[in-house]
Amino acid sequence: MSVDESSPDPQPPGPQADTAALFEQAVRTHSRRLLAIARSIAGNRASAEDVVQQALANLFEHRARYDWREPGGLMRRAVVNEALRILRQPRMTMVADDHPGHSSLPDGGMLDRETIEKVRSAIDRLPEHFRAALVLCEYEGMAYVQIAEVLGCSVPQVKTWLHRGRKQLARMLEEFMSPEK
Amino acid sequence: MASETDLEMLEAYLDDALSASEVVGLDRRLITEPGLATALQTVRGRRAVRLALFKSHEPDDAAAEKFADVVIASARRSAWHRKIVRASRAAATLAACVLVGFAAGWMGRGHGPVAPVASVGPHPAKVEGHLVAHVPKPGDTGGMYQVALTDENGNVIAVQKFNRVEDARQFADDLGQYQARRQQVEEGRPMLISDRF
Repeated sequence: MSVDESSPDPQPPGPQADTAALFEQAVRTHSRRLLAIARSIAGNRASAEDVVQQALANLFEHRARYDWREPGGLMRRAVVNEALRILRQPRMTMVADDHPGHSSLPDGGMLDRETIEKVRSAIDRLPEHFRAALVLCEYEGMAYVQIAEVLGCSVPQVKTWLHRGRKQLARMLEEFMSPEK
Repeated sequence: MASETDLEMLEAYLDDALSASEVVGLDRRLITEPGLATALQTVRGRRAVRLALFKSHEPDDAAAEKFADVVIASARRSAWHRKIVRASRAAATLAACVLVGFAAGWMGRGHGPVAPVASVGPHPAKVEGHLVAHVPKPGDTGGMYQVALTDENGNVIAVQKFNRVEDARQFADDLGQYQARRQQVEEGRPMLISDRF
């Protein structure tokens, strides 16, 4: 399973290109998915834009330290860590969901708003690391070892979080996810 | 209904996290066990819902482009801001050092070592404060007047020559004042700054 197939990492424009130019190119390439990751992990606890902006500002500040030829993983890790950092803070604000409505399923079906909200609510109730592991695994398509690297834990820990997270979600969403429905 | 272990294996199967031999084994079971195949469809359905939800969080192209512009502009601004702050800090540090140095010099004026009165060899610190001036007598001949500088043991460590006796006397007087001043400082007695040597 490849990582981030829909948004391949940008190639460096040339040996003379400075890190600022590479950073800008990477931001344009990855911002869409980074926002989705931030929103999926932080939920309504923080603005996804703030999370991504802060994470990328931190990266830009120390941009000389990083290899910008493969910025996808770097930026993803920064955003996930920033989102988790915000989630660890005392709950101060709630951010309005600016993406309500319905979303199409890959098989062409449609999910109504109520179902989406139930799923969203269930995912928001998961422990933060369960949620982060789920997003990285199912949305970003990352391998367990890569998720472990991003979340700073072991591969068995990732497997445990994923399994428990899915189990809890299934329990919470049983009425919506059952095949009979 | 699939067991807990089977569900975990099905999730790993969809995560592409099984080994080749495990995949082959599971594929065989999926053919022979309809219940397991149904469980796989259920797991797939749940994942599809979650993926749809995660994808619904993606902004559209225009919003993503606008956001990227904001992030880049903000990063550039913050980089300039950091440069200015860094330069300001360096300037402030330099100014503080100059100010402290000036203040220390101002507060310590008159208490530091006075200008050397004579060359006393390679180790002047050893003899300073223990000098005794010998004034030439009026009857001395040779047209040369000398002031011998001795240490506390009476050993001559330097000789200062003068052409005029007044100069030699003045030098000896100055040395005497200098010695008295040092004595005063060492004993901690008050001293008039304007009257320094």
